[in-house]
Amino acid sequence: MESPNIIEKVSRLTRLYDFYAALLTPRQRQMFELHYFEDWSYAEIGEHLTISRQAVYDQLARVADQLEHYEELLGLVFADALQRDRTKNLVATWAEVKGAVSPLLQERMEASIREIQHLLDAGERGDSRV
Amino acid sequence: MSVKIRLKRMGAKKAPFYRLVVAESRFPRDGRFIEEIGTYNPLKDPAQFTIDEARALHWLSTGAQPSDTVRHLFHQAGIMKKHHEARQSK
Repeated sequence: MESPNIIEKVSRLTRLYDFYAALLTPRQRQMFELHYFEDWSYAEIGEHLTISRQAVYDQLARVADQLEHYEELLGLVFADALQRDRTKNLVATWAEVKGAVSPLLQERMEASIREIQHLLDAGERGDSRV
Repeated sequence: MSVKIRLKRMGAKKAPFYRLVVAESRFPRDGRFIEEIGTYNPLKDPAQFTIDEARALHWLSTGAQPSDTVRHLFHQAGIMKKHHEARQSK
């Protein structure tokens, strides 16, 4: 984590990790979490796992490549951002037209929107398997 | 044992939230830390960084080592500059 855009790099990689962690090995997840969640240095992780600092660096670089590769193939992070963005637009438009429809239709529309938002938030709650 | 200032990830999956914590370098991953001195929320646009500047400067003056990420945040907030100025004026 030495680049000038270090925070952006952390944000990007941990975002990818939230979607693709299950595709990594337990060892890769352990190293990733020590570095990006606990903020341990390469040297500290190396000492903890009794491997060299360079080995930690190499492995984490490989994990980063792997995560980007998964995103290239599957695009889950991109799709999620798009869905959130479109849902925001939908909610904004709905707020403008809401007054023009009957209370019954309002209720149905709002139930539908809640369902979509529930889906989007599902990944943020509970699911802590990885 | 040296003292470190780290950015520790909290919050749920896909909803990260970070605390800036002061911790002994050898604390295992049981969440123990000496003191929380700030937060970082990347979900806000722009990302929101809060820091107790007096405590940050205090810990830096005792020799606590910020991680690369924390150093970056401190640098952006002008804290590293104040720390160096304080050291030079001694």
